[in-house]
Amino acid sequence: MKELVYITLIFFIGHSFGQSRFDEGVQLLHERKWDKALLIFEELSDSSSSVAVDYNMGLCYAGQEDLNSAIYFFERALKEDPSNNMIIENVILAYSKLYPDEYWTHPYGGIDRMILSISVSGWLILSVVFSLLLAWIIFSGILHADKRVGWRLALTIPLWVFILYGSYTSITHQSSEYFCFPKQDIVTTHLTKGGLASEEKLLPGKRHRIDIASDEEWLCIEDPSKQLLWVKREDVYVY
Amino acid sequence: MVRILMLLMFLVITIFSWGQKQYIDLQIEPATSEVGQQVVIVLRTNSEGDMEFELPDEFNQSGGVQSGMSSSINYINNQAQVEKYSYRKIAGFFEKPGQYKIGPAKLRTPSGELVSNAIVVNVIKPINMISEDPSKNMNEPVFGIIQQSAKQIYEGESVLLEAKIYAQVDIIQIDRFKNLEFQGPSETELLHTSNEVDRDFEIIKGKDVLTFKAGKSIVFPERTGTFEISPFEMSLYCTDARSLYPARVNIKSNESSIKVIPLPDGAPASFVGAVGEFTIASKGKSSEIEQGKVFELEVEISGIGNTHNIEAPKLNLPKGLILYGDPTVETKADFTSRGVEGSKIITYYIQINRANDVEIPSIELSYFDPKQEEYKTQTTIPFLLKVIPDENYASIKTNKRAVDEVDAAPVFNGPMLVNTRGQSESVMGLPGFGVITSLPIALAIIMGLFLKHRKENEQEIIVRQTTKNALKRAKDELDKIKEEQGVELIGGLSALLLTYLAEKWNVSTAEITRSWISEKGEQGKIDVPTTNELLAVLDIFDGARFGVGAVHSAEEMIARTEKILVQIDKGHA
Repeated sequence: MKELVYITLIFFIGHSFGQSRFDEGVQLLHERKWDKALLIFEELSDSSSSVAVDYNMGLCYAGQEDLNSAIYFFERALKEDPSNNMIIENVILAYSKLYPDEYWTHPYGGIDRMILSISVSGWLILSVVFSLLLAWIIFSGILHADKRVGWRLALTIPLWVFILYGSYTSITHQSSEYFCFPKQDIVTTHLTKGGLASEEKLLPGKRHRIDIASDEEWLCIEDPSKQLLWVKREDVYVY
Repeated sequence: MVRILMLLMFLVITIFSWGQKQYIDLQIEPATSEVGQQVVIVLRTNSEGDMEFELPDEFNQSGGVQSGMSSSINYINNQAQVEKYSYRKIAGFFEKPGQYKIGPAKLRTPSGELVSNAIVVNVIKPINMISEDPSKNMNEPVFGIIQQSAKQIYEGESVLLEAKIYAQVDIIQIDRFKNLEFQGPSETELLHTSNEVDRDFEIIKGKDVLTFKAGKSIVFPERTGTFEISPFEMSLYCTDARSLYPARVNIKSNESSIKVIPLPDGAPASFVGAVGEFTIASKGKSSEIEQGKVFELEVEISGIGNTHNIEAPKLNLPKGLILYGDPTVETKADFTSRGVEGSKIITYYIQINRANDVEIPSIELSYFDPKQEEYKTQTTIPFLLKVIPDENYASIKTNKRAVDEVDAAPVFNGPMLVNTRGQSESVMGLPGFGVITSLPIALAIIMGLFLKHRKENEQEIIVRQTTKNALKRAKDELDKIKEEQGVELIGGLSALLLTYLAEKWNVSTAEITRSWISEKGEQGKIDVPTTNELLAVLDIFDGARFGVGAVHSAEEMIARTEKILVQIDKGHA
């Protein structure tokens, strides 16, 4: 019991400390002290990343006119909350400042955005409810040989499959790496892993899709012409 | 007639005076003064009683308390209202710089105690003035020199000008004072009234010299360049040892000049022409508003400098918010020797066209600090405005779009104020998810099959029992027929067979037909030889009943019937 009280106490103290540091960072943002605010949000990002921390880090970089990093952090915040208009407006603005003649495109498709707008817990609850419903239909079908079972299954199974897809996407979304941005203006790409350097350069603020062939040291990425190139993981931001 | 009119007027005045609310009011001019500068304190009341009023020890009262009666006419709803009041005027100066609270004054009247407002007087050190060396003029009995706070100022900055008279003789009277003038476009405010003179004694070249200061004024030049300050002139009456009458002396001071230089380059985008030292704060008139309504945002710029000339800062509004008309400006500031001190309150009218909560962003004010010769920037703290959505409100997105929204340079949305978490990783992960979704279905299939199997077993047992009972009853009946072997032998055996078949397959005896039996044979429920034998036996029974066909012995028929029963029972097993 005592241990439980201590753990709870430590949790609350930790949470309060995190929140006060966050408020401090926000205040520094208001004062346009980008460097100091960035230090605090980086510290918070190391301990527990969140939409607000990533978004505010994007603002810090935008304030420092580092639009490439700003776009990366805004998009990283979008990964967690893809339908947040506040983030979308900012990333569009940052991108338009970098490329005035181009339009920014959302990294996630409409269905993915719809799926990710529901929390993981929400998907899990839906999955459990529909699994139980399907189980009941199957159970009653086996036991009573009801002719309506076929219709019920025809209606339920597609929904159940969609919910399973939604849950799977939602669960794997955070841990998956989808895109990368160059950390510097010049990032060398390679034709093969550790092989010859390619003439293709990664442009700041341009996201590149990561291929599944990537490993811990090397990332396999798609260039705009869908050609696969290799870059060192340490040279790019990944989310 | 005139008397009646006078009486009526007196009556009206008396009634109005009687009807007026009793008050006591404290006024101080100026609210910011220099050490030694005259400060006038006025107490006004329309009531009578014992006054309790204390002044700070640092206040040096000059002369006695001037008191009297006066009246003023106030216009309320276009109707003139005469107000009579008594006043007490106290003049003096403060000896030390600081902030001094004066008041409240209390007046004990027969109907109760009246309490006035209190005022804080800000007393500052005298501004250092630059002037030519007076010792060069010591050959003159009386001479005047222009004093100024600076020889060079920045555009927008103020300069303090003052006339100073040096007298080596006793001055009896000052006459015909013509103050100095700034020769250029400017805004000039006289800080001292024309009859207000500061006296002092100074020692110049070992001589005790009487000095006067007059016509102190603050000047805000409106253009850059070098401008002349024309001399001040004065007539003085002074004692003349050679005559019984005072001598009249006309003096004309020196001329001076001031250079107004432009502000340095690199002014921030949020520079609104403020020169001095300022702070900015903003607040909303309410914390929530209905969609489509106009929200009032008050921005207060406080400080010292050209406060009265500051332009309204430009707002960078988020999408869905548009400026509704021009902002209103209220200036609460006084001209002092340091410039214009006080605040400027700018109220912006913003129409809220969006349905969700919005953060009113920080407002930036950049000003030029002439002391440190650099631009400085101050910002307000943003705040959240709750918007109550209105479904009936049609968003104004057509031709009525405000120019401000169209022309405003896009800015980044402000920071997220709450550390909300986004999508968190699932605690259970994919394996756990697979288990919780597939387990109910797997259990349902297993349980369903198990229960179905159990149910079928139960039905089979019932069928077996029924068959067993049917066979037992048929055998009992057959034994009975064997013993009796009467006339009803054929009928009895036929009924026995039909009853057995009906009980075994749970149908009525009426349903047992030849085609039904053939069907059972085809279904394999009864083997083919037994089916044929059964049909043959039934044909024999029908033949015997109607007296056609071959005659068979009773033993044969009983034996064949018994065999059929055994064969059907075996076949089913």
